[in-house]
Amino acid sequence: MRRHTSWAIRFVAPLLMPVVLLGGYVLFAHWQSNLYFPSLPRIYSAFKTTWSPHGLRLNAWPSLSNLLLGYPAGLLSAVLLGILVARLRALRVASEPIIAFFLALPSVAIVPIFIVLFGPGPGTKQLIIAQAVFFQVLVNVIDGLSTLDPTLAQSADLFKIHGFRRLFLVDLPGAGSQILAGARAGLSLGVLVMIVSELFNTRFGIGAVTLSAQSSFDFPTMWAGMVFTAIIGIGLNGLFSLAERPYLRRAGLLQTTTGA
Amino acid sequence: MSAVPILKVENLYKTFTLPKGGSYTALENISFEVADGEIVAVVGPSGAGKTTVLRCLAGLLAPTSGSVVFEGESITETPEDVAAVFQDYSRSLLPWLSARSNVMLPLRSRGLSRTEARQKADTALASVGLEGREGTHPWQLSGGMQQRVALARALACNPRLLLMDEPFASLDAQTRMDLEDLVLHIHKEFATTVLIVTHDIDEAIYLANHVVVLSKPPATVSQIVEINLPPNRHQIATKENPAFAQLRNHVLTMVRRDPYED
Repeated sequence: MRRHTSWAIRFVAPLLMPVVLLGGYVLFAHWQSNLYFPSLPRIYSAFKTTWSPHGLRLNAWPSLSNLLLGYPAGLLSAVLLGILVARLRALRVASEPIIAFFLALPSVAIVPIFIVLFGPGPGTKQLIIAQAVFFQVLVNVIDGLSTLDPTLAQSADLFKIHGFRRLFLVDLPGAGSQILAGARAGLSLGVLVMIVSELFNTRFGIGAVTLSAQSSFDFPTMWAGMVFTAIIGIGLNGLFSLAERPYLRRAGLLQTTTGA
Repeated sequence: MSAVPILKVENLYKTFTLPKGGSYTALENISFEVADGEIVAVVGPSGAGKTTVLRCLAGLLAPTSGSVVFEGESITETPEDVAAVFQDYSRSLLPWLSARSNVMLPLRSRGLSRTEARQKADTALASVGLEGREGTHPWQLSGGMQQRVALARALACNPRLLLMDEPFASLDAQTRMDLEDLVLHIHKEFATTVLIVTHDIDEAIYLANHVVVLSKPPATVSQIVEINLPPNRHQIATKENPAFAQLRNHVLTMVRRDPYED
């Protein structure tokens, strides 16, 4: 007998945290009466202005298009290279320190280097996003493929399942959970780096608008930018959850109650 | 049944080197034969190395010395006509594939077309009693049913030798009985030679023509016991037979014997 999650848990509970946070902000802003924390109505009006249809085309689209190109590029190249590295033990051991190094480097530090190397255009930003996503996902792909269930591997070996069939039907799905976790972390990182890549030399973009508002003390607009970024992040995460459901369902990982 | 040995294990030794140095001899001078069409059970105390023996027979583990000869040829890797069923069914079937796809996978790897493989898979699943459930995923099935899928997967390959490593150890007693009878049925219908490693003495005697008893590690063959029970085994009738109890006592005594006593 399946227990259906109650309506309250499914729809009310997720809204509780944002409501609490908003309430907390209102109280805090009222208490502080600080320029840095404008009232909610002022933030809301700045939000409407900044993210009007014109504003969205002007500032949201350039940033999002960079993310939409950079993220899949980083993801795909990480999966491909990860498959290669995981197969060759020597390569895996040799690459570990390099990967660790790049993972540890904060993207903020990398941006100026990339601009010097590749110029200030959107391509550079896409590259910066791609490389951040790349290392995050790579680590998880290599790890996932190196820690496959030995019992599963034993069966696959016995029944002589090799080559591409082994890769696509046994190994990659076996590492699926880990790879998806890496891809999700990469997505959040991608959003962050999308903003950070607009730190220098950028007129139009979500990060550009937010940062320029901050340096001209236009705090309602700054908050409008931050809230918008948060909405993007939540939205993309939600889309990711939807996208990974088919895999989780097939692999039996969505079970809350068992059949037998 | 002919007396030609389909499997001949000769002076099998297996020593493992330990990570911190030193070595551990799991198998010492194991020798036995399996005739074509027989069911042979391998029993022994826990940790005796029964699984190690099976892995050597399956070509998954290289012996330190000695030979495993299958159909007249010394094996270096898993032979074509050998299939296996392992104890941990939840980790040997692929959860993201349906039962049918799981059974089809080894067949596709052997070059069968999708239609051919599908047909063989469905037939195999029907022969283990899973007709109608071909599209379900392993995690949607009970333990007994999952092990049936694993069995179907092995059978679909038309193996001459079916190896089973404690296949029913993770199942409840009644399911165990049903599956034991399934093995007997399959053995009769397909004339497959079966080697089953088990810790369950009753199961070994119930199923087998011969029982190979291993000693504590370093494991040697203590004895090979011939099971002279009537061929049409029955869960109740056979176990009522006084000969069953005698054989059981004999094997159990050997398995439980302290090697330092006599």
